[in-house]
Amino acid sequence: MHFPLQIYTMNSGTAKSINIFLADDDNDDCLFFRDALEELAAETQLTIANNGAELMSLLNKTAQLPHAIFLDLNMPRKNGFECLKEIRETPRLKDITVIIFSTSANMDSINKTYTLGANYYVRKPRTFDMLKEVIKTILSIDMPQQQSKERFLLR
Amino acid sequence: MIEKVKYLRIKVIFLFASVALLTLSVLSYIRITNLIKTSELVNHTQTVKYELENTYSALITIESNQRGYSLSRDSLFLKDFTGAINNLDKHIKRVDSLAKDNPAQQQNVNVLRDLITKRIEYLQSTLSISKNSYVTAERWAGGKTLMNYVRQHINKMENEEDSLLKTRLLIFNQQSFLTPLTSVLLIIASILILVTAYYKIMLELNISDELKLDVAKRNEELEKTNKELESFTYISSHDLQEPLRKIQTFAARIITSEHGNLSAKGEDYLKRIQSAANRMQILIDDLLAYSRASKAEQKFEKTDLQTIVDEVKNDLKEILEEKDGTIETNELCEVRIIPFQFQQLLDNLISNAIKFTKPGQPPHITIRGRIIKSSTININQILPQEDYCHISISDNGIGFDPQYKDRIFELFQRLHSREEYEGTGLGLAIVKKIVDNHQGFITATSELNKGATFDIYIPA
Repeated sequence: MHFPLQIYTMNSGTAKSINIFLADDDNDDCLFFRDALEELAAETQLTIANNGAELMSLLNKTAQLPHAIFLDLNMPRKNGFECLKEIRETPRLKDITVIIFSTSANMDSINKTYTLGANYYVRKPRTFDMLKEVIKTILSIDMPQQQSKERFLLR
Repeated sequence: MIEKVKYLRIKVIFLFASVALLTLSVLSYIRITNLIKTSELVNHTQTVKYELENTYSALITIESNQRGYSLSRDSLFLKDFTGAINNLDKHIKRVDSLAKDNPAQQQNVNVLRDLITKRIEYLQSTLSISKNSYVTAERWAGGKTLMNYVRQHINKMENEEDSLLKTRLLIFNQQSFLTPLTSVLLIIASILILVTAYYKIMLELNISDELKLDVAKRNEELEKTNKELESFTYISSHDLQEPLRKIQTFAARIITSEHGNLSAKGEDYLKRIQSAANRMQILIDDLLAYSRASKAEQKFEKTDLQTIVDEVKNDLKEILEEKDGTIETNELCEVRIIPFQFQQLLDNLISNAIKFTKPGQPPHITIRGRIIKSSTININQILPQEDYCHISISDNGIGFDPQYKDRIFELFQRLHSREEYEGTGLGLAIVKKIVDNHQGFITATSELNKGATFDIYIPA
């Protein structure tokens, strides 16, 4: 299965729905993410980019900026660190909530993305239920400022 | 070790050079002293001969005065006769004192004095004869004979003094001849030693520099290999997680969403897939922890052990509650550690204590930490520090046979089958690695069914 630049509208897809971008080159993870959102039955619109370059061109083209970007770190062509840096340096994009979404949770990556200005760091959950839990938590937070270092990593 | 040998060699080289120079100066001193002695001896001989001649000429003066009187009877010749006698006496005394150092010459002086006394007595009797009559030819001849004796004896004494000087000069000349040659040889030897020492030292310095360079180079290579290996372990473990997570999630997805469509057998198989995947997950986590524990570039921080214990307690809250376990701490101290590594260490040890419990007995773990002196530690190892933090973790579990007390710290060593107790055989290897990272020591003490105690010593 492949997810080339697809937009999924969960439920009604009204103007009030939450607009989410996911940048991940892993198709399985994209599938899990979509299914989780679906099962959460949230009013969301999900746009998936398969790598960093795709995400950036998408962001630069779109008229409707997302509320949140779930960003994988290890991606071809443009990795998550580069995307995050570019987003924070672009005035139009810099206020978007960015959630790092990675398999690894080593201190180097956590520190680097925190310094670059990511809002949260989520280690890709091992079970589907945990994934749903994490997405639910993120969507329920409406103050998208950067967290203190202690609360940056969502376990 | 290399440094020690190097300094020893340099010391030996300088010791040799110093001894050679010292010998040289002592010999030069002796040589100069000998030269002074030789000139003193020549002087002495000259003085003795001079005084002997003076004695003789004083005697001749007296004799010629006597002759003058005997021939003319003019009292003018006897005007200072007593003075001349005194003068003669003075010279004899001087010769006497000069000859004091030589018993043979001393005897000669006595003989000379006797001869002179006889000559003076004879001379005086001639004088009294010549007041009234002429002096006979016989008496003149007698006087001359006595005079000849004196002259001969003085010659003998002078010859003796000369030969004495000759012998002495010969001895000293021999010494003087030896010393200049030795001096030159010693100077040459010293220069040779110093030049050799210079080259030796330069050589040693070069060798040790080369060795240092060699060691540094090899260290660099080792570090590189180590880093490569570390990142290899880390990345491979990390990348292994990706597909594993997929297997776990897909299995869970099928169990949940396809529940009604699965046969009991199919569901059982899926659960077995899940369980195997979970085991692999734990193994990868442990391998990652081990690889992280191998990274030495972590920062040491002065940390209160209590905070670490509290964090571990919090992490293990669920399993502790499930097993009704208790952790007792008393007198915990501050210690310089890598906090996250130490948390891992305590986590592993406490997890073990909770895992290896006796059936029906809830786990009870006691943690103690205090500063002790290295002299009180009973361990067959060199303890470079004076103060150590001794942390002991004891439990009331199943313990282990003491023969395995070292093996349990090795990689992938397990004492139980998976059916009895789950585990990867990495937990205590990680603990050991972390203790090593802290330049510490760990020992395990136990008996079967009597609980286990782990003693950790970390430089305070």
